[in-house]
Amino acid sequence: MSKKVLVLAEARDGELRNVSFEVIAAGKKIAGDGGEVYALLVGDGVGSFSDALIKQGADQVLVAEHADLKTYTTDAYKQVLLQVIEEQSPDALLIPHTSSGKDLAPRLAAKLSSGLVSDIIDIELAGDEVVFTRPIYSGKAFEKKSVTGGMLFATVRPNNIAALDEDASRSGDTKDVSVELKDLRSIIKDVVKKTSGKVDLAEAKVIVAGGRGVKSAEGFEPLEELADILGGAVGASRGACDAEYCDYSLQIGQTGKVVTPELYIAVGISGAIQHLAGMSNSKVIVAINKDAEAPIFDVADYGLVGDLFDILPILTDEFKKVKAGA
Amino acid sequence: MGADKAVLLDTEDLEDDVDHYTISEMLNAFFKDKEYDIILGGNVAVDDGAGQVAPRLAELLDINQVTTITKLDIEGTKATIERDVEGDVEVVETELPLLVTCQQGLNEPRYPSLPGIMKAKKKPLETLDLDDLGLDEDELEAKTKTVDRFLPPEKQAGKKLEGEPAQQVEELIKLLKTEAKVI
Ligand SMILES: Cc1cc2nc3c(=O)[nH]c(=O)nc-3n(C[C@H](O)[C@H](O)[C@H](O)COP(=O)(O)OP(=O)(O)OC[C@H]3O[C@@H](n4cnc5c(N)ncnc54)[C@H](O)[C@@H]3O)c2cc1C
Repeated sequence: MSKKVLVLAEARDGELRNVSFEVIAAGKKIAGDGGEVYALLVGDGVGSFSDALIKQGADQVLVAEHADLKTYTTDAYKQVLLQVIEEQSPDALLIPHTSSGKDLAPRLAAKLSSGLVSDIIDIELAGDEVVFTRPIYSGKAFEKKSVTGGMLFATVRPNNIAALDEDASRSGDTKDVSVELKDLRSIIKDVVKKTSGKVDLAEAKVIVAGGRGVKSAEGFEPLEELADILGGAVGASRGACDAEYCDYSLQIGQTGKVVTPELYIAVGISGAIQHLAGMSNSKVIVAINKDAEAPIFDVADYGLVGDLFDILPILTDEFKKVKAGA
Repeated sequence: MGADKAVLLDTEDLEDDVDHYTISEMLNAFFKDKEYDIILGGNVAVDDGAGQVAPRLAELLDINQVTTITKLDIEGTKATIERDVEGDVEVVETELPLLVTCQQGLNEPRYPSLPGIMKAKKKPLETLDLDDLGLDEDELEAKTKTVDRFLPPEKQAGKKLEGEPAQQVEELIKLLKTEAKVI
């Protein structure tokens, strides 16, 4: 049976996040033949992203703009979503499992008295039933869940469900949603940028992460160089953040960011369970550590045992050559 | 750790499918007739990792929420909060009553001291079941179903590369190109 799926797109720092395309791809799968995916843009001055969403597979784009939607707040976004759900009566709703999606989705689910499957990484169709896969126990195991009450509703972990290929010939309608917001209880006084804004860690294809073994803030510079060459981002263990080698915004793990890059290079990181929680599902893991017994090697596809200060410069040079040759 | 009173909401009467809907409804039934200024919750549970219960509860109680907070200042009924937004820090102002979820950095939990542990034994622990909460099993039926739980396919044991740094790097680049095909 074909379905009407509403997906929430997300912009950050004036750019559409890739996860927006991934929720569209996920939505297409659920919608089935003859079904439709409606992408919702919420913000202030976000209408221009509509075209990109259509080329990536959205059948229709809904744009809700308001000065009070510039920065995410629970109350404002909740009101927009409830209004759009009321007007559109979708069969399914997909929201990115990002900072704002995590804040919003459970609240909506409670309001709609609906089930919700959080942080999904895969979707299967079993006849008419939609089954979601999600990691549990910090990525050490997985579960398959379906929604049995309320709306078919899930949040989607970035970097796991592949976006569709762009199709420039696609066309679709864009409709404005006029919103009135009331009783907004949170006022955002300030947003202090800690992330460099170069490459979004959650969406990076390559991550070079440093741990306490890197030994100093200066020790992170070669990691940045390597990340730049690979078009990736720099991450860190909590050990490195606690030692003030880098900002907490780089922390990967249970209490930091959860990432799924194609290539994760762990440099001077021991591989504590709380760190693994954030990166063990990376597609390929390379570890550089001088301790051959370090637990990071248990999850690494390729392990380099040795002093990172010897290995890193050679590695960087070799990657430079590869990139120059490509 | 410092709590003055503890209450256990007992799910024993329920079948095994207890989900975030169920738990948040039970918490709602508990809080409904209580007075509170602030409800503090965890950010996510380490086993399930969904982070649904606290925001669901805030919605059911119709109070505001601020999630993943790293700093909390309260003056009268005004709360000034810093929250972690994927690494950036957002400064939020809002009013009580309020629900917050706590993120690493909010504070250093104290270690329970021996006298503390002794004292804790004398503190009241109340256990409430569905009847006490005025709830009926049927209203609490989970809205999601777990179809399967499984371990990831056994990962091929990783390769430890041998030799001098230059040899290891050479081997790595080759493997990343031909075997892993990521570069
Ligand atoms: C509730 C809780 C939540 C947590 N959340 C997180 C989280 O989100 N993320 C996280 O990362 N941690 C988290 N932790 C902390 C975690 O338990 C570890 O303490 C932390 O990951 C260790 O960081 P590290 O690997 O950099 O340091 P270490 O464990 O000290 O490891 C340093 C490694 O560097 C190697 N090394 C040293 N010098 C060199 C050299 N010259 N060349 C090569 N290798 C070298 C050493 O052999 C060692 O393996 C959490 C802990 C708790 C209790």
